[in-house]
Amino acid sequence: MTALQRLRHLDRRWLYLGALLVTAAGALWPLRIAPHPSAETRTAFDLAQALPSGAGVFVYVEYGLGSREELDPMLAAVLGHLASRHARIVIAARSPEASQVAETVMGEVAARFPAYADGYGGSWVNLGYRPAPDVALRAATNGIAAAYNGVDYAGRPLTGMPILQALPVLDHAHFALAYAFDSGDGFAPMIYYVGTPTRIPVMIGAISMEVPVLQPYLAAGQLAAVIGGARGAAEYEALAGQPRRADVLVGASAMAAVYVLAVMLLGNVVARLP
Amino acid sequence: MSTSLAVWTGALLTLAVLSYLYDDNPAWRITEHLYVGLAAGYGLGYTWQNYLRPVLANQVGAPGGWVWLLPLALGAMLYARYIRGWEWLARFPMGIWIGYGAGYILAYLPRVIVGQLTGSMVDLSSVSSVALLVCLLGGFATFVFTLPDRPGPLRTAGRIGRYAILIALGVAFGGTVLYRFTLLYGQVHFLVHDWLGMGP
Repeated sequence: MTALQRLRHLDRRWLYLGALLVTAAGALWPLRIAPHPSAETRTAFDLAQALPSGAGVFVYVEYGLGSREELDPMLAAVLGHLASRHARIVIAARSPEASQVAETVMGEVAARFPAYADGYGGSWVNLGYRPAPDVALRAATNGIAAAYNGVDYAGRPLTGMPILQALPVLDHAHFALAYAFDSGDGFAPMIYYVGTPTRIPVMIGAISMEVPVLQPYLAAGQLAAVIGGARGAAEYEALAGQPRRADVLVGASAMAAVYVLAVMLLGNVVARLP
Repeated sequence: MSTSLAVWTGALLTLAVLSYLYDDNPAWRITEHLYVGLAAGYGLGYTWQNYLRPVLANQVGAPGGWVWLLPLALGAMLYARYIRGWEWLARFPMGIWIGYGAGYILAYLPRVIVGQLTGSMVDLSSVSSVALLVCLLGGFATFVFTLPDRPGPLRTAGRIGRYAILIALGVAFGGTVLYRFTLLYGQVHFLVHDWLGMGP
């Protein structure tokens, strides 16, 4: 029996160990890959870049802790870009967990921009989560403060906040963004209740797994742009000149992809041996 | 190496979970039970803190808030199905729920579907638009099951549609694999960087 034939009876746990070692190598010796920006990411960048100073942007965050690895760098890059364009950022969340995630990421971005660090209520606000989030999202097209019961995520009154005087209803936003883990709960309400009725350009940032599901909406013009996975995040970071966090992920993913391909090829060769 | 108790706990639990890939073992079992127990407790607190308490404190207690007792009563009626002789009471909230859901979807879904339909009607001026039409019609043909003997062109179109669907599923599966590796990377980075203090 040759070495290749013996591989046919290889314990699958060796493959798990291989995957772990490849991933550990990516963490120990990061391979930074800055991908060439795709047309989709460039469209997303151009939309944000074209915003006038003080433009209102509605950011809807759906994801939780399980998707932070891919979506946090993306959200940070886009929020950082919007802050550099002096946009007014209204954040809402689809779950209490997403509200905390958004607060953390925006807090890190605000620390880099003095106007945002001291400008809560003027430059940005976190509305947080409300039960029946679809209803709140739909109601925000009639009045954002009322839809979120007049308080932000920490219970502070929205009355008197300059940002909601400049952007009292969602329809006045120049741009709406959603960051979603899941196609059903995440981006669908943005298409149903925001993009289609109001015609506000909607951009979705999604994990790589969900990107194919978004393509029909993008092709039909129901979405203005899509940023997909760690690669899309790395592309956006490069375009917007934001701190590079995602290119390490792209490097690790590339190493993992090579490993998976090698295992698949080897498995097929071994399976066809006499 | 980290001196934080939280990091050590996280790291050891991570290793215990990963140990299941080798074989079933007591460390994995303890972690599994711990996880289920914590998730149940967390879920209870999460529901009270984020769903029930805000409604009770901010809405039921507000002037005119008594109307919020109606959905509370409807919710309680759902449990009537467990009381012999009173099961019929559960039909009212279910009827309202389904009726509301159907009306809500009908109010919003058609606009999105019309957008998808018009998005499919493209001029055939590029390779991608021709590919879109071929794959769209092929996809439809794949799901024509009502004819016992499908004519040749329909069978060919169905085969093209099946390949288009397979390619789409392959792309989605590739994305899924990479996404899972990204999750693994996050946890391995935690072990290597935060726990062991290695790496850049």
